[in-house]
Amino acid sequence: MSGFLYYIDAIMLTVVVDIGVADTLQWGCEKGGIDFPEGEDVMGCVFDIQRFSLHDGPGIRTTVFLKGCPLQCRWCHNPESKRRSSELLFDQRKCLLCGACTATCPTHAHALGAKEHTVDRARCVGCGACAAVCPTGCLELVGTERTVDEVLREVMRDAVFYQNSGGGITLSGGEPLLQFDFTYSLLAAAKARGLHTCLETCGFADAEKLRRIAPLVDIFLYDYKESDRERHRAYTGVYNEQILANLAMLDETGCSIILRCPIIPTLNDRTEHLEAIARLAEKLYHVTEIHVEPYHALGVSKSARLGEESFRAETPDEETVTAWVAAIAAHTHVPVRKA
Amino acid sequence: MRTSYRPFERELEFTARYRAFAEKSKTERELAVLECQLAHYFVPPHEGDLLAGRIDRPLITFSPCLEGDGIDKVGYAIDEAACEQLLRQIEGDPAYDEAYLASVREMLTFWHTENTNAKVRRRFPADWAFAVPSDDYIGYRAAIHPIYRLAGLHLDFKKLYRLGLCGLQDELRTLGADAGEEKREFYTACIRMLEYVKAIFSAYAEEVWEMLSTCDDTARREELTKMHRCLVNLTAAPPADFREALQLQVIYMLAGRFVELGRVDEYMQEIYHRSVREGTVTREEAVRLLDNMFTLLHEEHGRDTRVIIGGVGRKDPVASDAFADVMLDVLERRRFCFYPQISLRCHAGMNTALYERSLDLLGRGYPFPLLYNDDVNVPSVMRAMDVSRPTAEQYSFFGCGEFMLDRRSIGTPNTALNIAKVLELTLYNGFDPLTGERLGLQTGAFTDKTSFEELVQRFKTQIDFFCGAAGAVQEMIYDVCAEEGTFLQASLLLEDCPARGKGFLDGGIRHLGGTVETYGNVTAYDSLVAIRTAVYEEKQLTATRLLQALRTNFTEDEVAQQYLRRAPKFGNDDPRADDLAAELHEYICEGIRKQRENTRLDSFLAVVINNSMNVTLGKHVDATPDGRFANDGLSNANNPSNGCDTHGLTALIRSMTKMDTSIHACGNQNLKVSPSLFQNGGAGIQAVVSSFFALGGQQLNLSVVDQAALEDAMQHPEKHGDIIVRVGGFSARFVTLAPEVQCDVLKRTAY
Repeated sequence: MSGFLYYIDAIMLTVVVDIGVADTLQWGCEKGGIDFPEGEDVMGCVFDIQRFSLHDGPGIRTTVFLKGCPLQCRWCHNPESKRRSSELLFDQRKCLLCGACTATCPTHAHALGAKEHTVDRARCVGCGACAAVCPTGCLELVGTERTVDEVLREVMRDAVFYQNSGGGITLSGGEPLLQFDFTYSLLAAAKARGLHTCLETCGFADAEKLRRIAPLVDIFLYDYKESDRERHRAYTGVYNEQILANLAMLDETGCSIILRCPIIPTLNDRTEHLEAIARLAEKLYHVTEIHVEPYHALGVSKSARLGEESFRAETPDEETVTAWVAAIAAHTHVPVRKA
Repeated sequence: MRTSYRPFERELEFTARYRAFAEKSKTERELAVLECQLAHYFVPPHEGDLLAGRIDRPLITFSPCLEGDGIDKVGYAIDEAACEQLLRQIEGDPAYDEAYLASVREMLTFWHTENTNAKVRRRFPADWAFAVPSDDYIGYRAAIHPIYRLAGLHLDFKKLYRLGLCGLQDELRTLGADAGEEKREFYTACIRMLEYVKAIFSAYAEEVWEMLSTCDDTARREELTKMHRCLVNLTAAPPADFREALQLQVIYMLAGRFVELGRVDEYMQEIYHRSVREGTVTREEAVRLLDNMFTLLHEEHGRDTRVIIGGVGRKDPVASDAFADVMLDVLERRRFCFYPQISLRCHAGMNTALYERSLDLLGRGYPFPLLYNDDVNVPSVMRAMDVSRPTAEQYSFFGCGEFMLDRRSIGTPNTALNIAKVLELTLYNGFDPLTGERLGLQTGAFTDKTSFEELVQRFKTQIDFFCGAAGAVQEMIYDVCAEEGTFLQASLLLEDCPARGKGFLDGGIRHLGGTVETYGNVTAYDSLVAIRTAVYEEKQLTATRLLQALRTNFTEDEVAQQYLRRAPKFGNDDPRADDLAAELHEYICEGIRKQRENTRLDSFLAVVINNSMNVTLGKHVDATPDGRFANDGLSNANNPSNGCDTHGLTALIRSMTKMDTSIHACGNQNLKVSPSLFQNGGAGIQAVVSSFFALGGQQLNLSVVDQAALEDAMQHPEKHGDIIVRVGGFSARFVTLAPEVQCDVLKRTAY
């Protein structure tokens, strides 16, 4: 789809949306207008919709997690988000060896031994047939194709909570901009319903896409992972120029930005990086907060369920995290806190 | 004032009076036993008491509700286990001759059949008595148990304050002057009863005078002097100030075994503000006096109660709110004492300072106040009880939260109905799967040929049957109690009884209500949803395999249990579970509500309340089709089964608020939230509560706890004496709870 069409989409969507899902609530938008539903039929691969999120922007929010990421961060705490397509999580410990999966799998990817169940990842096509019949949930499909309309219906269930708390919708991932059509349409539809919107992004995206999506985003939750160029590449698989350029561009545009900084012991917990975070925030005009995100090991077990190896670091204690926060706060006026 | 009695001395005198008046009217007999009971009931104040009011209860009494033998007892009650124990103690003692012992034994035999509970039970007709085989709700596996009591009497303390004992007598004399013979007996009896109550004040005045003569401590002398002045004044006049008002109320409540405090900011505020203005009491003194009053009631009655503050329908909301704020001082002072349960009625346009202070207290780990939503509750009461808005605005509640009408109704729960057990009996054709005893209707065996619609219909048939039994038990208890006594002390202070010249069970009360405690509701709903999903929709299990798995407590078929657990559960805003739950909730509530057509009750309503009974009653239920193991706790109140709410607090709240509130007398919701929700000035919790209320939530019990601290407290109780949790109908220090109740609390999802 061309850039021009995106633009048309945006205009149409902001004025014309079927607000049937919100018709019991007053959200300041009028029902009616021209029927132009395409935007809400756009499909995206979603791997989680988390209601009652309190840490992904202001108030009570619903966070929609999209699959696929252009980065390969070593510490990734959502490893199931990396691939763009659906995939299977398997937890050997929960398996009762009942055989429901072997009877269902069209590609014979499952093999049961006397005490063991193995998944042949090369055969698995991610269809989810096994997960659907698995009694224990040891097999779980991550990522399902859903329309904007479906997702928004679920999001709007908590409208009253957003209204009372100043909350709204947050898009996260993975990298939401990787599914640009879907992300764009979802944000546009959310805005049409008067929702407050946050977009979490690693910033590694086409500048034009970011520029186009910016008017639909109230707050960018912008990841800032490493200030040293070479290290950035070593830790995430990409250099950081584009990320920094996009950040500067959004700042110039006047977008509200919260910097989210994962701090990983032994990788980027260096004083010079912490100070660089502060300097960056000082240099920009619209960074309202800096959130320190201390490493946690949640990603490790998920990697195992994907059949992958993963990076491990020690989980920092409360004191260490406080010291990181202080180290950043010493060099900037922007409020810093632990996420 | 006597402080010690020869064992059974009082009981023998009480019994002699009862027998001597056997041929007289019930009112005369009641007066005769009350004279004896009240004369030997009270004992001197304890050191440090600011108000007089300590009791030493005999083992045979007349009262609206009393505990004994592990259950509740009504009317003429005997604590048989305590009597037997005392008898054994004196049997070897030469001080008691054989004739004395024989008279005691004869008395105990007499009351074994003559007590009111026994009289009620003897009337159970055969067509449903088999389903109510026992009064022992802790030990017996039935689906329904009777609870013998007249509870939730909210008396007109405003009137008591205004008139005092003498003024009440004057009013009764005036009423009696123009009344016919039938009513006159009521008035005369009430006047005499008040004379017995006055005698308590005189006896206390003498006692305190004696204490003064031996007291050297200046501060204590000052307190005793004030106490003495109050007691003397109250024998002749209405209370002159706040202290006297509380002194009058506490003795009246103890004397009649009344436990309900009700809307204190309505009836206490006027005399409080006047006393402060006139300088007879300071705010700090008032707090100490209330604290002492609650201590006396708690220690002497030992029964849970509510203090209700806030809400629509108060005469002077500004003055009442100011007094409600004093009550929050009392709450702070009584941090580790969970009596009374202070409850705040909230509504649009309420005093925000009161609301914010309440949330702040909750955020700091206080278990109170419990929050009630008048904007939902007033219309709900109007519909549930068929009353006007002004009447519904006077809704009040007691115990675990049963709604009734302040001063105008009674809403005792007289049965406990285990809904999960009803489903179990449905699955096993009316028989208990463990004992084989028939405890329900024989609606047919659940086989592979049974359709889901048939199964649901059978469950509904069982529910109809148990609702009918519950209504019959309720009416029977009221009927027998009406034959047993006039309950003069209560009737005198209920709104319509004096004008009608009748006891409250004889047609004196305006609104005769009753309630049914229901338990394990969500366990039953989730179980039916799981059967529908696993057996009929996904066809993962057959009926035969399901029953086999349940009978073996899933030990031989863990796969079946996993399928059942994976089925949708209530509490996740999932219509596949919530819609059936809401439908069955409505069916049960309406089934109970329509019993008013079969009885003389004005209203008869379900309560979906909570206490630790969900754990107790869980021991009577085998494995259930929601995947729950045998003997595990049942779901609590209107909450999901433990750990089944996995989609966030907003989803949970949306599920909870799908249940119709206008067809029952309250459903409770417990939310366990973390202290972080209270950060940043409490914006988070305010958003949660206001959204919950906006969605139609009727009440909220908040437990603010740190989950990690609870886990640690199970290992190191010595470090966590300060953690307070909401168990259900009551609050408690976590470390004092039984381990299985601790686990039950811990397993609830924390947000």
